[in-house]
Amino acid sequence: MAIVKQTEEKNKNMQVSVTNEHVDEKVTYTAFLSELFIISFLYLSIILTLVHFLKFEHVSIYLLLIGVLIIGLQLYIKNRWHQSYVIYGIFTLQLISIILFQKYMINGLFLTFNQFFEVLGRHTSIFIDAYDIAINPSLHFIAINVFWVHLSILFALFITFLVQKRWSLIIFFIVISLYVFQMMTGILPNRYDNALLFIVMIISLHHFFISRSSRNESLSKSHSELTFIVMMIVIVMTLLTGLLTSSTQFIENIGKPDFVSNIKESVTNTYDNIRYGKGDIDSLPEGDLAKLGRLQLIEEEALEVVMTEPESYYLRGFVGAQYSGSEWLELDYTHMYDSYNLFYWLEREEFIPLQQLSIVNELGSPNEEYPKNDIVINNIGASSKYIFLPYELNSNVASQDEFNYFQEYHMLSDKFSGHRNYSYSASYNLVKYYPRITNRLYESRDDEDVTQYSELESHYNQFVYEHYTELTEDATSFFDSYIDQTVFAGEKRVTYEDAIELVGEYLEHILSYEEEVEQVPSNKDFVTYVVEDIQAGYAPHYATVATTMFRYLGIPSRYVEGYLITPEMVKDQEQYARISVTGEEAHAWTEIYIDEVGWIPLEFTPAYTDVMEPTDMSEYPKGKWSNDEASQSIKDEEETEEDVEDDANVSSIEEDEEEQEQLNEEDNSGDNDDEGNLDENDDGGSGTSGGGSITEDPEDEQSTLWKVILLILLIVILLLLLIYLIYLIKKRLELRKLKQSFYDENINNAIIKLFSYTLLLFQYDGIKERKGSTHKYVKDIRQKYGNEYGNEFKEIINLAQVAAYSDRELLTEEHERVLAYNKAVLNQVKQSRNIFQKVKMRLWDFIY
Amino acid sequence: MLLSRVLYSIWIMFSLCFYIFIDDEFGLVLLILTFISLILLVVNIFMTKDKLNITVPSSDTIHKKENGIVNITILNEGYLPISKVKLSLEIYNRLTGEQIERSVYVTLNAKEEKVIPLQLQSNLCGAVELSINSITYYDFLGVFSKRYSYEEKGQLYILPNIYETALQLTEKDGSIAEDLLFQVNKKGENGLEIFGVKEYSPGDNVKNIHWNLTSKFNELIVKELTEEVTYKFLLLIDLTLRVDQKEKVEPIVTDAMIEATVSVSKSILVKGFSHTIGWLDPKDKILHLEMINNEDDLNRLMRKILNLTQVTSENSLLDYFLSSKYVHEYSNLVYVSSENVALKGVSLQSDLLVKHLICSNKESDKHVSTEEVIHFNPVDIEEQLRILSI
Repeated sequence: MAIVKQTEEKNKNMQVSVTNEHVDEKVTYTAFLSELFIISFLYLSIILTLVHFLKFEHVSIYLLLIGVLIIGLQLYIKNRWHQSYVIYGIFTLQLISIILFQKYMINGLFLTFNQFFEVLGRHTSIFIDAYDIAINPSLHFIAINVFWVHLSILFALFITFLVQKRWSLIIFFIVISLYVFQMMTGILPNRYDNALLFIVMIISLHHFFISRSSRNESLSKSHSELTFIVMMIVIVMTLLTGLLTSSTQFIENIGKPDFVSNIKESVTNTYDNIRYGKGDIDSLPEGDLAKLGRLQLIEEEALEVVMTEPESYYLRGFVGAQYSGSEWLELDYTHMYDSYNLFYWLEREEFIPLQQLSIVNELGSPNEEYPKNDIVINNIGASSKYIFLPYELNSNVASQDEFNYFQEYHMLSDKFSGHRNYSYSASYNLVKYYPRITNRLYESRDDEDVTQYSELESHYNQFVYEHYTELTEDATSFFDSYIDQTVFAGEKRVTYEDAIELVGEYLEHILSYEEEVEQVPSNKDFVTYVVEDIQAGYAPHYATVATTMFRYLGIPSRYVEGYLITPEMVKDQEQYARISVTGEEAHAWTEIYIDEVGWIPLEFTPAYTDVMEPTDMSEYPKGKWSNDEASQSIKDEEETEEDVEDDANVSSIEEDEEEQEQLNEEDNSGDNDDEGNLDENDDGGSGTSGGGSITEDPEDEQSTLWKVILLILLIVILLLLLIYLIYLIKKRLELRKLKQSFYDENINNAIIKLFSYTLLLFQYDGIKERKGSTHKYVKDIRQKYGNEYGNEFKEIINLAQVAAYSDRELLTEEHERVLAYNKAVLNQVKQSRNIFQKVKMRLWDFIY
Repeated sequence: MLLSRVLYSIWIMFSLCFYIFIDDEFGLVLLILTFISLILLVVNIFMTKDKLNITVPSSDTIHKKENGIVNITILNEGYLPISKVKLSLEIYNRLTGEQIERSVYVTLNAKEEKVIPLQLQSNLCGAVELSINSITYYDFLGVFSKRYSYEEKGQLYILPNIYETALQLTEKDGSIAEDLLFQVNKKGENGLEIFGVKEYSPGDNVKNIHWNLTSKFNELIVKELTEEVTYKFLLLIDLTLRVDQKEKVEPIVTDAMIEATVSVSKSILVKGFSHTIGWLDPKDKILHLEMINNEDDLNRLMRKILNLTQVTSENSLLDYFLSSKYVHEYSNLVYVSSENVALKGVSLQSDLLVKHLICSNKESDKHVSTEEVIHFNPVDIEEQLRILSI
């Protein structure tokens, strides 16, 4: 329909408007189908994307089609008087259904949330405890589908409402929100879903545009048909683009040009600088090796450290867990999520990887008092993203709730702008004495606390070997050709002494220390390029080559960036002296995992070999670090791999089971403090599903089949109810139209209709249908209702015949006479029936 | 349309960000799709332009304050639907000079013809021109638009109200004429009534021989006929604007002048007199006179009158009349104007009986009406005309 826009002040003497009075706005069948297709497309695209977003494999696509039925129903009743009744009817049915299936609904909702939390946890650092599920896992499928059926009905109603109200801009913003969500979380549905979202976006924009100026008018046939055509064009365009780009491998060939990557990097850096304010205090790349060029260490204060007793420490900041070939990355969120339970229980057992060295140091003599060094850090110029911690950490960091401590290799601040002030306590320098600590640990293996520690460590050890020995194919094949395979001596892992020596010698021969080196192209493997082409570098180069080499040799290792508090800096310093750590103390090094002992920093950069205190080798554990030990460790690992759930984890948590059961009894409401149990790894695939879960009684399990049958029956009943509702509306409408015809302006027509209806009433009441003259009924009516009715009916027949066959226009009085007779007959018929028959007459036979 | 452009710009920015920050191949596909869509939108406009055929009805007639429907027919001859097209309409009342502009937005499917029933209501009479000046095509999303000039005109005549007037004809001496049709107290040659009879004398018109009396008296008796006195009315409607006139005549005043003229004309016709209506031709600036013999003539002339426009001129219409050759042809002049024009020149014409109807909407212009000059207001025009004597 056309709309008029008045561009001038309203003229008093002339007024112009577009009138709708003369426009035929009947919705055609094509327009109905077009609108149905458009809304169904919008609905299905969004809801399917949501299902794929959440990676719900158990949601039945067929059940989501119920939403399309609802859309069809809504469109069918559009602009009719009973529209609101149908909507209320749907809501009422939903409410009844929710009440009937409340157990499934609630658990379906929780399962949906849990799935969302899992997806979120696997892609981001956001870990949310799962809800307890109070039904048997075999019923999860039903619960999810019951919930999603209801959700889809509501969503279908919502989308139809938005389109009919011309609020399609909301759909546009829903699409934008879904894309923003993808950008922020990295959770991507499949490519087809994103293409569907694009089409939905275009359709919503188009619909918004064409209906914006006429928002007070109903969606005319012309709009829906037009939108349908536009939708087809966009679908074809999207399909062709998809086919062309994939068939010509255009996307693969173009990839992401350097300038785009540079933009991304630049924006990310700026964003990080704004958040964490590192500035240019040092040129260490936080793992991004492609950035390495000329080393710049500026003598500006990075950290201000105050200690009870000034002591030299390695302060860890960024820790590179995964080597990609061009950069060191943090451990994948999926790995972290999968290990959530492990670290949860390890922490409950007070095995905290960041404090491992201190824990080991205190083993064997629990009653002994170990001196602690209280440390206060004031981060001035370093990145506030990282909490700088020493290897000797002995306590949880103050206000730890704000830190992401499930990342066992480094601690990150969860605050937007990071943390600048924090404190903790640490043991005195243990790194230089780690051989002695190791020796002592081995000597006290039989002690109870050591045994318990060893069991816990075995879980962590498995995790460490699983994740910190990975190498890229390029790096592996490079080392294959460079390292003499005899060093393995038939084992999977080289001994620590041999490995340390080998790496040291190798680096000494291959690399020369230079602070200005060329940048490694991002498409080249960093290690290969540095060793073969540049053959020079500084700390990050040495640390990267050393770390990868240790991994090749079978020893878990990581790349670390941080700051050094050197012996020189703390020399002659008094207690609580303020120690200034500048950008010049920024450094990168390698740390390796020594079985049972923990992570130990190793120094291979020539300029730094004498900076930190040398390792005290006087109590080196002779023979203990041999391949026997290494082999034992790997064997343990293999055993654990074979029977993770049944053996190691269970044994480590056995003591907790009783406690857990008690907690479950105390807290059935699912307080998440007690969630997480290593045994729960096989429960629904949810890494965070809690130990507080409540399982069904065996009797309930036996009745599962009946419940499924009941569910199916109820769905069928609901569908039948829905069909009946549509039938009811249709029939009531027909009846209403018939009744309106009784008062037609043309009295003759009205009388004819009234007569037919009266005859129908007689037949409904048992008067036998007779062919030929209607006068044949008179006798039967007299017999059944009495002479008065019969005689009057005879008169009514005459009037009806005049109305039908004569040119005479009947009088109003005559019309009223027929009307009165009809009412009398109806009352007669109604009175002869009981309440149930009356209900049937009204709601099934649609007589009145 | 601005909002649509802003929204699509947001989308472009967003798809760029998606491509830059998401390491997924779909980022580039999304960007390509976004820019292909833009190209499609431009193509859409160029494919739909010149595909519209618009027809505005040439003329129709309605009364004042009535809802008149002008059905604009718009046909999309192309194979692509047009998501939105804007018709820029100008509605101009030639008589009153009123003008308004409107935009009509239409959506059309391929090969679809649509009738836009434009409802127009005017409180003032006149010839209302309805013209489509331009068409603006929009793409599917309202991002691009292209405007083209277009010329299509239609006209709607808004008829004036015609009021009943108890018209009284006055003699030159101011007395009311007894017989409204003829004066019979004067012997003449061409009258239709018999003034008297006399014996035939040579020179008498043989056509006037009274044959009945002749047969009785056996002498030739001839009829003496009355002198025929013909009222020749002239209605002048003065829509001229003086050069020094600062303000235009108010539309409502123009409307009242037309109504007064037409009502008087109708009343004269009812009395059985032919008459003439005159005005200044807007183009040639000459006095234009039209003879009205019956109501059909008046109805025919109505469109011309309604098509009149206000003309700037140094002289009033009266000046044009006085300097014309027609000045001696009329016995009565009804001069309708919006301002007081000096009637000095007219008084020199001893045979001309003048009534000056002055219409004004200003409170300050209220004057006492005299025999010659009658002031009336658009509001009480009906009352004033009812007691009018000319």
